Amino acid sequence: MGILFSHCSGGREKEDKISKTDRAVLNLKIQRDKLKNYQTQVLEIAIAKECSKAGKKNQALLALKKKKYQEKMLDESFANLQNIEELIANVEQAEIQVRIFESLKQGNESLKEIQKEMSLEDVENLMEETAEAIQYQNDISEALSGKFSKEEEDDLLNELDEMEKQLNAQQYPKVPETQLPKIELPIEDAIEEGKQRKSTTNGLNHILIIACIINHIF
Amino acid sequence: MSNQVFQFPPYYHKEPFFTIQPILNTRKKQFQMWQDLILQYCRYYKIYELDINESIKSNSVLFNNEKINRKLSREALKSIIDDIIENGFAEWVDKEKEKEKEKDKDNNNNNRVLIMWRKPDEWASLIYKWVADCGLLNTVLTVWEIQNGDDSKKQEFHQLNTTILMKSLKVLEKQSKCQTFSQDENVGVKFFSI
Repeated sequence: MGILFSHCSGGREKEDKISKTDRAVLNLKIQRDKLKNYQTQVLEIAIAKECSKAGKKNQALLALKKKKYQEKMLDESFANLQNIEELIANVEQAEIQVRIFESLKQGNESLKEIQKEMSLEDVENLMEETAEAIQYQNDISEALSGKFSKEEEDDLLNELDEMEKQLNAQQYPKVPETQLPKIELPIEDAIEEGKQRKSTTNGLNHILIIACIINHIF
Repeated sequence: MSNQVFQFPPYYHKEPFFTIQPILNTRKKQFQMWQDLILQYCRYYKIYELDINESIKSNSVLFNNEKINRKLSREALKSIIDDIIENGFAEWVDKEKEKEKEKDKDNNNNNRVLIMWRKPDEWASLIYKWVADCGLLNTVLTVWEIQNGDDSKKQEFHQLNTTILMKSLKVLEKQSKCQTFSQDENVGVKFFSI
C-alpha cells in the first residue's frame, strides 16, 4: 500500500510539528499494517489448500505440508505483530511520560520563580509591620472615641435615673376578677340518644338470629 | 447488507429517462435526476470509482433496465458524468489525461471517474471527530489504519477510497488540524487538538 505523496509545500514551521519519534512510530505502524495484510493473505491461502484435499494422495500430502508451513508462518507473523504492537505502545507511553516530566519540571520552575519574589524574612517583617499598624490604629481609635468628663457623667446618671422612674410609674392593667359564666352542656341528651341507637342495633341482631333459626328448621 | 438490494426510484422505470431530452430545460431536469440516482446508488453500495466503458459493456443494472428494455448509451452517460463533474460531485481519475483525451476522441482509455457522493469536507469532519473521540489526537496514524484498521470498522469511512481520503486529509491540513508526512513511500498523518 505504498503511496508516493509529495509534501514539498510544507514550510519549516509545519515540519517542526513532526518529530523523529513520529517518524519512528510511523515506521512501526507501517510494519504492523503489512503484517495484518499478510495474515489475511495467509488465511486465504489456507482456505484454498483445504479444497485440494479431494485430490490424490501425493497431492494431498504435499498440500498438507504446504498448509503446515503456512500455519507456521502465520504463527510467526502473529508473534511479530504482537512484538511490534508492544513496541509501539511502549514508545507512545514513553513519549507521554516525557511530556509529564516536562510539565512537572516547568511547574516546579514556575513555583521557584514565584517563591523568589518573597523570602521568609520579608514575610516576617511584613507581619510585624502589620501588627504594629493594627496596634497604632487601635490607639488612634481610643484617642478619637473621646472620654466624657466627670460632670457629663453625673448628668448622664441623673438622666438614667429619671428614665427608670418613668418606667416604674407605668402601671400595668389590672386583671379582672369577674368569674366566667357557666354554660350547661347537653350531655344528658347525647347519652339518651346513644341508648336509643343501642336498642335499635339489638333489635336488628334479634331479627337476624330468628331468620337463621327458621332457615335451619326448613 | 448483502441480502438487501438497492430500490430504484419510480422514474427509473420510465422510457424517456434513458433518452437524452432535446429540450434544454427538460434535459437539465433529467441530468439532475440521473445525478441523484447515481449518487444514491454509489452511496448505497459504497462505490467510489466508476468505469464508463465497463459499466456499459457489462450492462450494469444502474444504466440498463431490462424490464422496460432500455439502456443508457455511452455518449449519454458521458454527458451526464460531465454534468456531475461540473456540479462538483465527481472527478476524472486522471485529470491530465483528460486533456489528451479531448484531442484524441477515438481514444477509449481513462474512462474512470471518481464519484464523491460525500464531499471531502464532510469526510474530513467525520474522520476528525472519530480521531478526537478515540483519543488519538497528537498521535501518528497510517493511512491504512484509518481505512482498514479494527478501530474504524464501524465508521462510515471504513474502506474509504484512498484518493478521497487524501483529499480529506488535505482539507484538515488547511484547517491546521493534521499534518501528513511521508516516510519511504509510506504516508502517515498526525492529528492535532485545536
